[in-house]
Order: sequence, then structure tokens, then C-alpha cells
Amino acid sequence: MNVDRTSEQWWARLGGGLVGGLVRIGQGFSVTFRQIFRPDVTKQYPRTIPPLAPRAHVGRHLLNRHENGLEKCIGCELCAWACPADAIYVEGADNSEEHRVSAGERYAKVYQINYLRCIMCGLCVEACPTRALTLTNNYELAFESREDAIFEKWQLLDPPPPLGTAPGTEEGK
Amino acid sequence: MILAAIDWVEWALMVGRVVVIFAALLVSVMLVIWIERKVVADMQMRVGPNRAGPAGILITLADGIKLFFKEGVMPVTADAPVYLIAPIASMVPAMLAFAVIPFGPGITLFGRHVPFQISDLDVGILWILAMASLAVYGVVLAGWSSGSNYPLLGAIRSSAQMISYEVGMSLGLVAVLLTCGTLTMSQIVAVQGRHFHVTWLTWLPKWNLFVQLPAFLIYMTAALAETNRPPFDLPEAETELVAGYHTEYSGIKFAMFFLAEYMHTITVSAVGVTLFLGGWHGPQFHAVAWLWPLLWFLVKLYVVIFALVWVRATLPRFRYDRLMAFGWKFLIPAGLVWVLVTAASIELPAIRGNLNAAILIGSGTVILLALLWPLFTGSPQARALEGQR
Amino acid sequence: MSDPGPVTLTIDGKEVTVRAGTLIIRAAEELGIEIPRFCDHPLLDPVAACRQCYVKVEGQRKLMTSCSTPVADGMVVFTQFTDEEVKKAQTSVLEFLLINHPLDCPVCDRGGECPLQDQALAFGPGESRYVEAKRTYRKPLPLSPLVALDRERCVLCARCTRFCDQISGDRFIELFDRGAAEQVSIAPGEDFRSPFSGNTIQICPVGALTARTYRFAARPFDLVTADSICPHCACGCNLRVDLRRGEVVRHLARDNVEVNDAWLCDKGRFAFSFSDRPDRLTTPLLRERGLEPVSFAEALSAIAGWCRGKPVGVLAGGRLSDEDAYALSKLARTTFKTNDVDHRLGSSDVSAVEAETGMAAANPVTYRDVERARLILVVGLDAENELPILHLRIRKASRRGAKVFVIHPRRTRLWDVAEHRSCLPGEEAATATSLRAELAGAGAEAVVLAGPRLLQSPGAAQAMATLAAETGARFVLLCRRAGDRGALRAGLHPALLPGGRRVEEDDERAAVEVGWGTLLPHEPGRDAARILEAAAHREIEVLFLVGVDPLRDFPDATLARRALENAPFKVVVDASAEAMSSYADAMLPAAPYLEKDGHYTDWEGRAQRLRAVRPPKGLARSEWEIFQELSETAGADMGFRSLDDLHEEMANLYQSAALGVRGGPAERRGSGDQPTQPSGAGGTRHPEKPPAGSELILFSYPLLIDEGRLSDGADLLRDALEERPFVEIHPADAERLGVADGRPVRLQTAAGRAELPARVTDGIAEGAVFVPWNQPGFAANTLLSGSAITAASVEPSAAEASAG
Repeated sequence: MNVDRTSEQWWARLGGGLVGGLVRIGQGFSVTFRQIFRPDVTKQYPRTIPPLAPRAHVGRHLLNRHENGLEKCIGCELCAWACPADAIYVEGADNSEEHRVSAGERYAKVYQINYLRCIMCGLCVEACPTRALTLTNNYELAFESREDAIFEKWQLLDPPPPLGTAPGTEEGK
Repeated sequence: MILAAIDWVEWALMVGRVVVIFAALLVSVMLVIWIERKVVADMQMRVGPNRAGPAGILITLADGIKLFFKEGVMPVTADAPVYLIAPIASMVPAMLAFAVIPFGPGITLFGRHVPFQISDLDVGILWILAMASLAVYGVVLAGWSSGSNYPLLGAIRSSAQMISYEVGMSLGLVAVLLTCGTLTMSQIVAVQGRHFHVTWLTWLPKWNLFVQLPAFLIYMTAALAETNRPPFDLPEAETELVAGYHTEYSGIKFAMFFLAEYMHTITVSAVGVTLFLGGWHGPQFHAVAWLWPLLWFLVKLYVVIFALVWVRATLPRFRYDRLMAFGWKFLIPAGLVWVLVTAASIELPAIRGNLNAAILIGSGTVILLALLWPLFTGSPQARALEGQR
Repeated sequence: MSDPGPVTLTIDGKEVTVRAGTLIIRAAEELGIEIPRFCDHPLLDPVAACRQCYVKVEGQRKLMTSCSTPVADGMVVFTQFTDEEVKKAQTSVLEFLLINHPLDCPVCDRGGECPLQDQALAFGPGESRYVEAKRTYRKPLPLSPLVALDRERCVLCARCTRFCDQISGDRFIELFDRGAAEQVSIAPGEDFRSPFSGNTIQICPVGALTARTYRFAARPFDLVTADSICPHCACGCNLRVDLRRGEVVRHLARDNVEVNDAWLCDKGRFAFSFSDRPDRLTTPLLRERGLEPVSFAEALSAIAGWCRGKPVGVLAGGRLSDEDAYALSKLARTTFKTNDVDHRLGSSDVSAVEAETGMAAANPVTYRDVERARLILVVGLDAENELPILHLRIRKASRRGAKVFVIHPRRTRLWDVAEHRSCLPGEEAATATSLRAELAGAGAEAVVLAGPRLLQSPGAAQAMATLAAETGARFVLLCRRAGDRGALRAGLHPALLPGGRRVEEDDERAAVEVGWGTLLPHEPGRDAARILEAAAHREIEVLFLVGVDPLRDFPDATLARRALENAPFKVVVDASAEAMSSYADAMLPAAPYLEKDGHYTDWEGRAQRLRAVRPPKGLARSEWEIFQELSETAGADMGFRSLDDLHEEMANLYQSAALGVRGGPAERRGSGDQPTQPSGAGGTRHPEKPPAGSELILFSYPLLIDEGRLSDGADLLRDALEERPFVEIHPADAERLGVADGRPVRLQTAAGRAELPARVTDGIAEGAVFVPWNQPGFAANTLLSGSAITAASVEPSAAEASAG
């Protein structure tokens, strides 16, 4: 061990370094001992729910609408294409005058995101040409079966059903 | 006639002692696990278990129930009889070592004197060492019979570590043996009841902690290594060997290993208390006379256990080769040197008496100061880091 | 014309030697240099409309379009990779193209597989300087139920209009107007009713022409793609099948210059849903009280029990792969010990055996021969309806200068390139002999294409073979369905064994006996008509129906129904349950073309490999596996453990056919000899005595798009191209009988009667009437008595007559 010991304190070289070693061990012990008397940083979730930044994108996706109520999503499948985890499934269909869902020719008849695969990377949001798809910070996505993890369009379309501890749910009361 | 010849009361008392101490041991394991988790959490700026029972005290019970319901998966390459016996082989020596530890002077029941000790062997210390050696079996058998490579590696490392540090531990115990002149545990405790002759130290009992501090340190260090406690827990570390010798165990069998490890901890702490901290000695009161020694013993026991947990939270893990080097190249020579010093101080007439004490106490004081001084000042680096937050 | 010899030129510093007349763009492709293009297509005449393929040719003043400039010896060419001016020009062209191109990529079906996207990314400017408004149209415009036009996206490359003009001849669409308003258009009120309309979708380089069947169905990355062969007709078109989540979403054409060029007919392109229908058979069924699902072991042991020691008849359809057909042929001969096997429905010309053995043994004519011919004689074939890609090839040959004669009672869509000789049905061969001199003049550069319907007229096929042999022309007897040639080769024929060996010829039969290790019956068996008759009289105990529906396919619906009702046991091996489920006693699930490995042999005799695109549904499996298991259960194990075993046997038997040289007249038994009538096979079925007053000859054949099973589920295809039933009648006959165009008439034949609207046209021979075989609401075989040609009387329907 070729350590530069010239700048060490006077007691460090006592006893062939043994005393210094013991002192240093003691210093380490003091750190942990005094930590007992300092406050803990643990948050007691779910009794207290720390708020997230509003633009934090760690939660469920949202399919946005225009102001006039038409869906922005045009079912182009670019989000499914961009997804590195193959979590999105889209089927496009024709708009007709009687049944108009989005502006333009095409809308998403089937829109599914599998939250067991989604890694919240946001590449789908980047890919969307109409800014229909965005990520929210609603991260309480626990589900009880694999089928439940696949969110359909009605669960993602604005306004979406509440999740987790949000008001209106069982946990949120 | 034979039935009449048997002393039933004595038998009942014996069985009673065994049951009480055994039950107490199991309960203390639960308590120690809770203490460990809570103290380590507090030292790490977090809360630790706080949901299972008030302040999380039932956490071990919850863990036990969980492990009870887990599936016990045995590898097909495992040697079934040995695989099933190994956890038991690990737990039993730990429990047995408790047989010779004195908790107090005793109580008088049914006209008989009942010592708070299952059996006061003449060769108590040897019994401790024997149980320590037997504990290796459990580890080796578990690792080998799992039929898988990580357990085998873990078991070999672990057992090598254990038998290496047994030597160091023995040297520490030899120093105590020399000082107290007896192998019997109760007598060692009795020896520590005496006080110093020096006028300004008569209030201080002659605990081996003060007289034999290096031996204490050597013993505790070796005991940590003997029980695979951090910082000597490489054979169990997940990042190194999955889980070492108990990788292939799940459910109840794993619970038994878990329990066995904590029993070992309590055992070595109890032995340390007995041999170095004066056992059950402490201020006594007349009311409920039998309780106070027991209480003092428990207080000291839990102080030592706290210290072990503190060590766990503070020190990083030893790498295996450095661990073995430390054991063989530092601890054993240190132990030998100290045994020589102790033996010399006892045998050489010129150093008998106060000089004997001076050497023994002086060295102890230096070490103690070196360890305790920074407790109150801390280190410049630590102060700088804390100032940042 | 003298052959100028090869030409050497330098492109981007690399030398290449090509044939004279090659375009620069093709020469560059040989070097692996890709020049961007839109309007260029190797099969269409160059038009240099898009200006994307600019290159610099040393010595020329301006940049040249490489798609329209042929190479010259010593030419030095620079492409966009080595010359800045060319690069800038190409970038500018793309910028211009993108000026009015809409921002449709997210909603455009071509997105992800679009040459405009790819070339704009590779060679384009990257940013647009256009800030004004783009020109817009109403969109999408449905040109037909199959094809949609988006004029905003069109880059005016004219590939679609050139295809319709040069390749298919169905000139429905054309470019109109000029400048920015130029657009592809169709006559008002017209539909794009061409059976080749789908090809314009595939060659369109942008999303202007899109398939309405594929609209918004998938993106390229959703698709699992595999190569296959079209299962519909014997053209053998190479397909690319795209599946999304295991379901077929489209067929595209694969390039194969030897077979289908780059084309598909609309049936091959759009009729792909039949294997995903809910009526797919997925388990074997056995009739107890109703049809119950059972295991294969149970079903096959029941069938083996029925067949043991009893006479068995086998009718096969035309969709079996070569291997399935071979296994069935062997099963019938070795396990059931019978020659009562037939895949042809309705042709019963005994003398045609010679012609058929010729087709079974050799590959006489290829597409290339047709393309290069100087004279093409088409006899008894309506190519557009029966073999559409051959129709395109004949048109291609005529563009190269071939003279085409068509002898057919009904004018075909070759009418604009061929000389049409009308004749009555049954007289095609006689009429063809009048062209002997022209055939002799062309010698080996003449091709005689004889349609499969010639087999319905006794001696016709043989006469054509002889005519060809005598004049030195190349002759081929065509077949219509994808599995027909393979079935013929495999010997699914009462008088033929595998490899074209005749049952009656001892030495030929012996070769097969040696190969199979068992003695074979030496009398030719019953043909399809006789099998059905025998079934109707219960002389056949078990009737096997392998991928065939006699009620629709056989030209005598009454006999077919009697056979199905009376035959004691009927075993159906098919992919779908709908057709025969009310008659079958056992149904075994077969795998369609998507799910099987094997070969389809096209009309040329070219065997093309078919690979499974997805695993079979449920318990379905290839027919050969079913037959193998049945043979094992019946105790006559055929020994096929894998496809390789089949191939080995087939290679031995097909190749080693020492059948004598087929195709020349000398080796035949002489054109004057009549082949002896094999006993038990029955002669030609003469039509029943015609009802009084009948004077017209009725004939029928299936049109391209009809109610056939393989078009099930292709609703848009049927909307676009399927015709309502009609009866075609010549104006002279119409006037004589008082029939007016479009009005209902009553048809009466010996077998039945029908009421259909009349179509008065001079496209049909005088004295003949035509009804399509299988249109919605009408099956022609209800009017027929065993042949597709019969006598009929026609009169205006009673309601019509009373209306005056």
C-alpha cells in the first residue's frame, strides 16, 4: 500500500499506524451513531402522498382532444412503431360523416397500451405527429392480472377514469 | 422403588430451566432481529419495519409466517438426507452453547438452589469452543448437499473462514483463561466480581474488559467472523455468491438458517458478556434479589448486541482474501502476542502485582481512548459532508 | 435484324457490360447503383415523366433521364453519388414533387413502405421552402370498390395509366388536364372494372392509388411476411402474403420474370380471406346424431372400417399440392385398390388420355415461349377469365409483334390484339385446322394454347396436339386450377398413374408397381361422371371428396345430388366445412395453401415451392399427412414420414418415366388410329335428347370472379367485379326468338330450366348461348347433364311474353 502519508495528523503514525487505524474506525462509528439522532427521510406512503411535478412523465398516458371535442389521435400507429418495448397496439379505421371521431380521414378504432411492457421512455410521445399522446404523472397503475394491465382506449382517452389514490377510487375515497 | 429413588423435583427443575432458557432464546432471536433492522435503519436515515405490530416489533413473526408458507424447493441434484439435516445441524450447536452461560447466581426453589444456568460444566470454555467448531458442520453440509456451485463455494469459503477465526477466538479465550485461572464459566464470572486494590480504582470491578481489552477486541472480532456477521459476511453476500451456503434453501429450512445465524450472534454476545463484561455483576438490591443480576446480564447482552449491529451498519465488507489474511496474519499473531504478555505478567515475579495491572490496564486504556475519542469529535471529512446537506 | 452485341460503359467510374438497348438505369442497377425514380418501371415503356432519374452523360449538354436513354459503347455516366450537379438536380425534383404533396404520411397507407418517403429521405432536400397553400382535391375518390384514388398525393408518374394501356389493355383511367391541375381521372359514372386493377395499386410509388381492402389495416412493421404461390388458378403467380396477428391482410405480387412478371389478377390479390373464415374445419368430425368433433384416430379408424373390402371412389378438387395429390393417388391404388380416381370434373374425353399423358410427363411450353412466339393460337380458352396472367403474357407477345388467333365461341378480351374466329362450342378443333398454313409458316416459333374445356369435346384435344405436331408448333393443353397439373402428374386420373404412365400399359404400370411394392389394378377406373353414377346406384360404398364440391363443380347438379344422397358413406377432406357438411359422414380438416409446405405446379409444368406461412389452425394438417395416417390405420402404410420421403418417391417416379418421347407425332399411335375404349370408363356422354324446339347450343364456364369458395369473404372484390347472372345471345338469334336486351328469358334444357336476363351481343357465336357457371343466385350446372355443352331452347319469359 503506497499511500501518501505526509499530510497525516500526528497521531496517525503512532504505534505503526495501528492507533491511527483505530481512530479512523472510531470516526466511522461516530458517523453512524450520530445518525440515529437525526430525522429520517422516509415518506410514509400511502398515508402521506408526496406530490410530483405536474410535468413529470412517469405515469399513465393520455389521449388528448381538440377544443371542439374531436380526438387528436389519428390512428397512424407511429407511437406503436416508435415504442422500443412493443407496448402499444393500434388499429386504424375510417371516419365517416355519421361517425366522426377525429379530424381528417383516420382515427384509432383500437388503442391499447400494455403497462407491463411500457418503460415510460416517452418515445411514443415524441413520435406522435398531432400531440395526441402525452404522459401524465399518474403512476398508481397497480393491477391484479395480466389482462388488466392492458389499458384500452377508454382508459386512456381524455377524460380518463381515476386511478389508485385519486379521488373517486377505492383507495382515494 | 426405582421410581421413588429418582429425585423428581430435581428433574423437573432441570427440565424447567431448559425450557425457560430455550424459549427465552427463541424470543430473544425475534427481538434481536427487530433491533437489528430498526437500528440499522436509524443509522441509515430511514425508518425500518414499522407496520407489523406497534413500531414493527412483530416483523420477525410476520417473516416467519411468510417463510412458513413458502414453497421449499429442493434441487434434483441435492443429497436429500443431508440437505434436510443441515439446517438442524446449524441450529443445534448454537442452542447448545447456551447451556453453560450463567444468567445469575441463582434462586432457591422448593428448598433447592437453582442456578440460572443449565449446566455448569467444569470445562465450560471448552464446551463453547466445541460448539463453535460443530457449527461449521451445518454450513459445510448445507453447501455441499445443495448440489449447486454457488452454495458449494459459499460453504467452502464460510467454513474456511470459520475454522480460521476459531484459532483467533481461542487465543482471546486463552488470555481470559490465564487471567482467571479456570475454565468454568461461573467461576470466571465470580472472578470478575472482585474489585481493584488500587485505592482510586476500588469502585471499578475487575472485569476482563478493563484488564484484557485487547483480548476482548480479538475475541469480538473473531466472533464476528465466526458467525459470518458483517463485515465478515462475504460468504453470504448476495452480490458475491447469491446467498452462499443457504442459496438453495427456501421456506422453513431457510428460516432455520436465519434463526441459527442470529442465535449464534446472541451466543457469542452472551459469551462475551460472561467472559469480559462481568456476567451478571452489577448494583444489586434486596427486593426480588434474583431479578437484578438477570437484568444486568440482559442489559449488557443488549449493549453488546447493539455494538454488533452498529458494526454492521458502519463497516464495509471484507474481501475474502483480505479477510483470511486479517485472520491469519494479524489476529492470530496479535492474539499470540497478547497471550505471551498476559502469561509473562502472571508468571514473572518482577511484574506481578501493580506492574502487571499497569501493563494490562494501560494498554487497554490507550485502545479505548483511541476508539472513543472520535466518538465525541467526529472526523473532519464527515463534518464537511454533513455541512453540505 | 442484326444483333449489335454487348456494350461496355462506365458508370461512376465502374465498368459494366450489358446488352445493347439496355437503359442506363438498368445498367446502373447491375452495378448496384440505385438511381432514384418514380415513373420508371422495368416492365413498362419508359416515359421520362418524373425527371427524377437524372444522370450526367459526358459530352451531353444537359442532364439525361437514365430511364429513357439507352446505353452506348464507351459512354461515361455520372450519377448523384459522384456529381454535384446531378445531386442538386435530383434534390430539386424532389422538392418540386413535395410542393403539392400533402402531409399525409401518418394517415397514408403507403407510409413506411413508400418510395417517395424513402427517396426523399435519401436524396431529398430535407426542408421545404414552400410556404404557400397546397392544391387540394376532394379525397379519397373510390375508383371501384377495390381501388381508391387520392389525387393530392399523385406525383403524375403515369405508371397506372401506362399499365392499363400497355399491359392489361383495360383503359379505364387516364391523365387529364395540365400543370398543377393534372390528375388521374376516370369516365364519369364508370367503375375501374378491370380484373387487373390491383396492379396499379402495387406499382403506384405513392399512396395515390390504395387498396380499399387494406385501408388503414396495418403498418409495415405490424406485418409478418412470407412468400407463397397463389392457390387460385394454374398461372402459378408468386405471392407475398402479409399477415397481421396471424390473419392475412393482403397479397402482393412477387417479381418473377419467368412466371408472373410483377403482376397479379384481382382474384389472386384480393381473395385471401377464405382461410380465415369462421367455418374453417379445425377438428375431424364424425356423424353420429349430428357431426361431432372427434380425434383423428377415431375418425380414421371409422373410415378405414367403412372402406375395408368395399369399393371406394375418390373425387379430388384442383387445390391439392403436388405432394397431397401424389399421396392421394397412391392411397387410392395401394390402400383401396381402385383406379376410380378423378380430379377432373366434367371432362370425359377418353381419347384425350394421350394429350393428358403428354402434359403429365413433360413441360412443353413456358411463359417465355409464349412471350417470344411469333404466332399464338388460342383454342377454346377465355384467357382473361381462366388464366389471367397468361392473358397478360399473350398481350405482351402481341406488343412485341406476335400474331394472335383466338378460336372461341365467345369473344374474349384479347379482341383488341387478336384475330377472333368464332365457332360453335365443340367445333373449336375443326375451326383451328383452318389455320394450318399459318402455323406451318411459323414453325417452332408458333405456340398452340389449348384450353382445358376442349376435353369436353371428343377428340378435340388430341386433334390440336396432332395439328401442332404436324406443323412443328409447340403445344400445351392448359389447365385451369392451381392443383390441376400436379394432380395430373400424380395420376389422380382413372387411366393414368404417376408420371403419366398409363394404367393399361403393362410395362408402364410395372414401373409404378415396383416403386410402390404392390400389384395395381390393371383396368382403368371410372371417371368422375361414372363415379358419381356408381355412387348414386350405391355401387360405390365410400365416396371420398377431397377439396371438391360436386354440387357446384360437376356439370350435372342432379346427378351430383343423387350421388351424395345415395352413397352410403361420404368422407370429406377440406379446409372449410360449409360446402359438404350436410352430406358428409366424416370430415377431416385440411390445411389451405397458407399452412402447408409443398409445391404447386403451374400450367407450364413448373413446380414452385410453397411454404407454410403460419401453423395450421386447430388440428388441421396437410392432406398428405391425413392420407398417410389413413393408410397406416387401414393397414397399408404408404411410408411417408416427412415431406422428403414424398419428394424422394416422386422424383424417382416422375423423372424416370421412360415413357418414350412425348410430343412428336411419330411415337404416337398415329393420328388415324382410334384408341381402344377402355372398359368401364364409359364413352362421351351425349346430351340427352334435346327438348322440342331447342335450337341453340348452351355452354358455360366459370368467370374469374364468381361464387367460388376461394373467393368467400372477398366482399369488396365481388362488389367490384362479380357479375349478376345473364345469358348471352347473338342478335340474329335474339331477333328470331323475340328476345330483347336486358329482358328476362327462359332457358330450357334437358336437365332443367332457368330465368335469366338476356345480353344481346355479337360477341357470341350465332347459334350458341352462354351462361356463367356460378354467379350469385344461379348455378349453371342445374341446366347441364354431364357436359358443359348442351342443347337449350330460349324464349322470352312468360311474364315478358304476357307483357307483350
